[in-house]
Amino acid sequence: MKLIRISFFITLIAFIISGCDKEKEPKKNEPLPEKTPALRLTFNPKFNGRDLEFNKMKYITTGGDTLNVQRVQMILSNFELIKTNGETVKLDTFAYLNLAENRNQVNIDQEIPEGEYKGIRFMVGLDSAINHGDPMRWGKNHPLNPIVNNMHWGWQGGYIFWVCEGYFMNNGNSNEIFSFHMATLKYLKNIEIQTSNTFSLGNNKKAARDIDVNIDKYFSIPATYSLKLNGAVSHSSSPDEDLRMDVLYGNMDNTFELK
Amino acid sequence: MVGKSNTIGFIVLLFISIYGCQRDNSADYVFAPTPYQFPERKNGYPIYEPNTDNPLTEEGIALGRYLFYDPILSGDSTQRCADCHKQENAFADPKRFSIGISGAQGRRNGMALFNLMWHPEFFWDGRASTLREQVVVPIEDPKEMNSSMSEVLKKLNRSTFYRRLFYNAFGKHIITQDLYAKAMEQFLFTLISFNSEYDKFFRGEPTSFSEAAFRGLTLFNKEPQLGGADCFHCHGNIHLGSFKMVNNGLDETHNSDLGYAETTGKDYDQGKFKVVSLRNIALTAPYMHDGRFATLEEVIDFYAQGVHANSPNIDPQMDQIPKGLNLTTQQKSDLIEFLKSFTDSEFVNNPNFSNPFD
Ligand code: HEC
Ligand code: HEC
Repeated sequence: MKLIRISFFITLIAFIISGCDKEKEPKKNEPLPEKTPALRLTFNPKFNGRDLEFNKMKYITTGGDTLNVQRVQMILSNFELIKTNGETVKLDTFAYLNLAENRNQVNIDQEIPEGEYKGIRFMVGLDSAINHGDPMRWGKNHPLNPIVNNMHWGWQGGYIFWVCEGYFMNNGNSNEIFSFHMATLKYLKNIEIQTSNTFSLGNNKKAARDIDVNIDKYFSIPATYSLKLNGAVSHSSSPDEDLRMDVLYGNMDNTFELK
Repeated sequence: MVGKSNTIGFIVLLFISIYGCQRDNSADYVFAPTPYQFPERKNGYPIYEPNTDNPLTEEGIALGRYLFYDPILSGDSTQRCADCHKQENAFADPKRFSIGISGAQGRRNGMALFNLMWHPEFFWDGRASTLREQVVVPIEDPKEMNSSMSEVLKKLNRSTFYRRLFYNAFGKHIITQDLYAKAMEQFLFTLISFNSEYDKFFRGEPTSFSEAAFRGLTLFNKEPQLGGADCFHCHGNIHLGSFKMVNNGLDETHNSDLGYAETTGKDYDQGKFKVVSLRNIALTAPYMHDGRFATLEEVIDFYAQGVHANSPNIDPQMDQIPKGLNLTTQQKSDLIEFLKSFTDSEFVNNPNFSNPFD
């Protein structure tokens, strides 16, 4: 009897204390398990078929340069999927990738018609309306927010579509900078890549595919590029620089590979 | 007998509990916060995105402002945030190194505070990823306010002034670290500066933006091989700073301050510091993380001829700058004229941001 009374009192006191203490924060929600998208594309930087390691002065190009790659960044849009029967499906995805920081996935999570798919098209860059639209209207995590991608030329410009930067050996100097910034309507790049490893989508089916980004080929196929001879910098912003960018722009057709 | 005293005990307890819960609900203890109206957003300027768990209210902002100007946050109650972050200097510290309450000298220059809603990381080395994380650090830093959060919370909870203000802002009687941080965040988020002469020029409004500033703008946004000064790769967006962690070649070796590497532990991040905004730059001397340059002239001379090309991890976006910029005296002064056009005098004189105890 006494025990019951005491425990009753304790309960009451506990109740009173907790009743006053309304300040307790609700438990933080555990992050939900990541939802698997319908299609996940993972872009992997490669050099001569092997994973490219950033910050290493060890990659020798066909043109004879030794490279240390610091950044490979790109803005992608106008994605389309290609069915094995040739039909295409437009997607409304934008992506910003920064391969050195492992930001390398494009997750497509929209209704996709059922079918067997063999290929992907996308544009490296943005069409004119978006490229020259108000860059600050995008939310803080949107791929096109300039604070997210740091690829917008603030003053009257549009976005940089593709960045490939680093150092190369020049007369014993390992800090010589190379820097290629592809931009402007002229250098909007359409990429189409196909694979024999077809994949089915639609009706809740999910697929994941790797896309290699071959930096060796960027500097060699079809045109061999030499940083020392051809020049190590282009921002697509003068006729001289355009001569260099034209070559690398052409090589971009062979840079991406769907596995 | 026992039963009766029990009943009385019950009644007393109940009374205490009701009184205890309600004693604060006097006239001052109202919780009816007024939502804050941000200034109108103009094209080309960032959209407002306060955190959804901390909507800005007039009451929350007023509270944060008191805290920012109150030495109650420091160990011996002598130092305020505002002692190192002065409004007339766009909330930067005009002293090269700030002196904490214990007399200890910091190793970095106090940073300017504005437009913080859009920063992805805080501090010169990016070691805080949210403002709410950040605002606890100076309190507990032995070289700054040299206190502890639990000490500060005790003091705040003892203060009837703050208990009332916290109740008005958040409807809570007990002041917690979370509420402190939310109040501070609210005030800091209202420090918005987008009204310099440069902005007026950018928006096509009447402005005193000069010819010389316009020539400076052209240099700022052009690459060296085209005769420019190439500042825009890092300071080119609407914030005039990318907020990324970058090495701009200040030093040949990184020994005294490893910068971002102190946050990430990675060798290749040594010497990288936050690309800060150049807004209000004419008011925020001295310059760089260690305040090594006293004037904008020194900064321009550094970029023109003083960059260490062999600095480990120098950013590739420094591009041709390390080879030297061929700027004439006239061009240097044009660039400085342009930098001066970033001053937002309305911001540094805004009465909503000044000391509320005055
Ligand atoms: C003793 C001087 C001092 C005091 C007091 C002080 N700060 Fe600072 N503040 C600094 C310095 C120095 C830095 C840069 C420190 C670093 O990078 O390590 C800084 C950085 C910051 C930043 C980061 C800004 C950015 O762009 O990343 C914020 C925000 C800030 N302080 C807010 C506050 C608040 C809020 C208080 C009061 C609670 C406060 N500070 C008190 C000196 C001070
Ligand atoms: C590669 C990126 C980069 C480029 C290009 C660049 N800066 Fe900077 N800037 C930085 C970084 C990073 C800091 C901070 C460095 C530090 O404190 O260690 C900085 C700091 C500054 C500061 C001092 C800010 C402060 O509050 O202390 C000024 C002024 C400045 N830069 C002006 C310029 C001008 C003018 C140009 C063009 C001539 C330029 N910058 C080009 C990255 C860059």
